[in-house]
Amino acid sequence: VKAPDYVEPIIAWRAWLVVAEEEGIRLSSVVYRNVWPPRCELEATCHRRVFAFPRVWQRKPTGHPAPSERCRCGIHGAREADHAASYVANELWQDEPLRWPLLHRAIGRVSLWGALVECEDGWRASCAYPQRIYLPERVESDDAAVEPGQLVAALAGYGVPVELIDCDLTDGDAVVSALGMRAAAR
Amino acid sequence: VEIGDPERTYTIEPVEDPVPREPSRDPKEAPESEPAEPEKVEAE
Repeated sequence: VKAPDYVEPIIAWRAWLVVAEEEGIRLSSVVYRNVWPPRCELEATCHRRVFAFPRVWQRKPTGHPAPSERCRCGIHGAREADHAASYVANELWQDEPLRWPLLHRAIGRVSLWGALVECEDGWRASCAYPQRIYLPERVESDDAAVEPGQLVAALAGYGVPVELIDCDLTDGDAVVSALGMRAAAR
Repeated sequence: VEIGDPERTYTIEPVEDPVPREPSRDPKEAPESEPAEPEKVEAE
């Protein structure tokens, strides 16, 4: 049995999509369509995407544990908030279309543990769970399916603090500024 | 998130669980079934 190197999780920044999944309103990863389960850690697996008949993206396991230094797999977290904020409003999820309606987007802090690969600007981990979730109060018109205030209540099932921040999603600097003001007020 | 090139690898086993899991129900507080009522029998 090998002893762990550390006993405190890494707290990093990351962005999420907020989606209406079959079982309720959930956080989803931005790049891959992984739903983050409430009250249970998300565990990383490594898949590569292949485009196969009948014209759909499929994910095939690579066979190695995630994260691997030689791969880009693992659950990602950024060292700085502005790095994660740049992903809040992007459209990377459109590469692999969502199965569920997109309601909003979120930024927050995430606990990372298990096996970790530390990188220049963040970490890739085998296990993760949200530590604090921030929802911008202002939304783009196409995402405004549900009021952000209602989403705060809906995401309470994760059992971690969920807060509104006074900014919109189109400006990463505004998101970081709002996060800084929230931290100063606490 | 684009986080750059890997620098080192390590393991973390948190002392405190980072996941706020559902509290488990105490079986003493919630018995699966009520104890059966005593059966009435004819006195001899």
